[in-house]
Amino acid sequence: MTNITRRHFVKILSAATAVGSFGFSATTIAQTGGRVVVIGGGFGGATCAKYIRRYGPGIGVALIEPDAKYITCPFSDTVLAGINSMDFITHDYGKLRETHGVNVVQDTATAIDPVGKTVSTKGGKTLPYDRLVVSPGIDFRWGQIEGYDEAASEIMPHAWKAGTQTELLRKQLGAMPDGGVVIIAPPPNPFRAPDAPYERASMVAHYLKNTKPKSKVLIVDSKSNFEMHDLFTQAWEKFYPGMIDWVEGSDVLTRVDLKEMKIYAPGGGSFKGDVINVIPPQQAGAITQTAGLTDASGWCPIDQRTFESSKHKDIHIIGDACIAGDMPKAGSAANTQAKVCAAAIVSSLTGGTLPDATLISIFYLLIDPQYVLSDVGVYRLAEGKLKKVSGGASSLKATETHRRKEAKYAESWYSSITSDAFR
Amino acid sequence: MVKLTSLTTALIVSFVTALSLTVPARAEGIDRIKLLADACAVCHGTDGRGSKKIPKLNEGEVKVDDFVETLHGFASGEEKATVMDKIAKGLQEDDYKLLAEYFYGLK
Repeated sequence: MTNITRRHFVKILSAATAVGSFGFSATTIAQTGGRVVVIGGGFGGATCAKYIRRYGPGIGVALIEPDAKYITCPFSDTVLAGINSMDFITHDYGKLRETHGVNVVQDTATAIDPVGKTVSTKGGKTLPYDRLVVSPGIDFRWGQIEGYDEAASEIMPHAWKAGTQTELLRKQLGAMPDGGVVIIAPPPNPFRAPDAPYERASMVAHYLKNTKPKSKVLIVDSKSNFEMHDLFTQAWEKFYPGMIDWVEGSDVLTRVDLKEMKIYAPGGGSFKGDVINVIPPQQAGAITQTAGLTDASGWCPIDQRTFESSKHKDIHIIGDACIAGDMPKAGSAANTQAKVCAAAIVSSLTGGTLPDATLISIFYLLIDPQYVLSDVGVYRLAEGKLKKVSGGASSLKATETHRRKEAKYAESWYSSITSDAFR
Repeated sequence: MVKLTSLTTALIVSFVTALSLTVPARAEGIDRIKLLADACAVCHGTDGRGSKKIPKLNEGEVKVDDFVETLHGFASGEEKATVMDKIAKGLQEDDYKLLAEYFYGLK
């Protein structure tokens, strides 16, 4: 039998009470398991919140997202084509809350204190964190194209963030008379979803072919080439002969004239359109700029193994906003990065080891309901950078059957990735 | 001096147990194959539960030998693929069997 003094015993009791460990309620364990705040409820943020809860059920996760529902850019071009409704591309956060126990906070994160480790919101909340995940997507470099400020997007929509912009562009296409010209003007690299402007041209052409067949689609590019050029050209010749023109460019548009409905390219060329979809130059989402998480490029440098910011400790950045080696800026890249990030955070909080990771990004380009292209990449860390170890786009020599299969897989992919992220 | 009664012992034991619940006694990492398998969820669904035309992989749906043989087939070109050829080539061959076993037993 051990003898201890009464004084010593009372000391042990009060220490225990201070730690709060006597009650071992679920709250206590959750609190002591750690708190993670996630900024952004898109493919990156939602997936990350869900997977942190899966890998570390003792960890509390709060996700801050301004919108009540998430509207996806993937498949938004089918809404432009009149194939799907806005409902089809809209997802709520019910399952994240109910099934995964994520505290989804409808609010806008306005500031990060990386020393005090808190996030402030527009609604006046202050959320403390042990680890922070920032997945804000992109923001536009307003004014880099002279005349293209945020107000200009009400006349020449970008629809490069889905939602009201998608509806606006759809409305404009619907109102355009037969024989009109639709201009799509993509920016220089890097930007979100670099092959998507050409998908958009295809889906718009699909709509026009069926409803306003004398109309044209003109792509005024900022680049002299794009990766899937031959694949798209082959498909356009088959489905939309004479309807889609691609004009190569050397740099970003110089200016827009909202009144005359004209855009101006470097070198002096100007183009007039009835509907003009300007896709402006981009950078990492606004909160990363104000929080000092970006570098001179306007994107966020990170440790590509853990996605931890190179600028501030205990802050992780995933998705479009981060610089991730060979990985594209795409929803499925954000989705795969989110899981490695979740694993890194959980390991860090529980003292475990983060295993070597393989990341897989895959997306589809919709040309016609029966003809779809894919692009896949498998990535692993090599000398500190995420290197593409395998992958590629669909073959030029694929059969019609193959293209139809990819169309079916694309539909299935949309269902699986949105379930994986939001449900 | 306080004599250590059985109640006191019980309190001290529960205090120590509580401490070990809050401070991990053993560092548990996330399993490498679990993390790899979760990358497949983008198409095959969370936990490989499947999605429309994309096959279900979990809950004994695919026999281990079939899974391994199919991945080898994708990598070699013997098995027709749209994207799985490129994915199989990007995985380490030794992981085919580990993934197969993981998915087979996954609920």
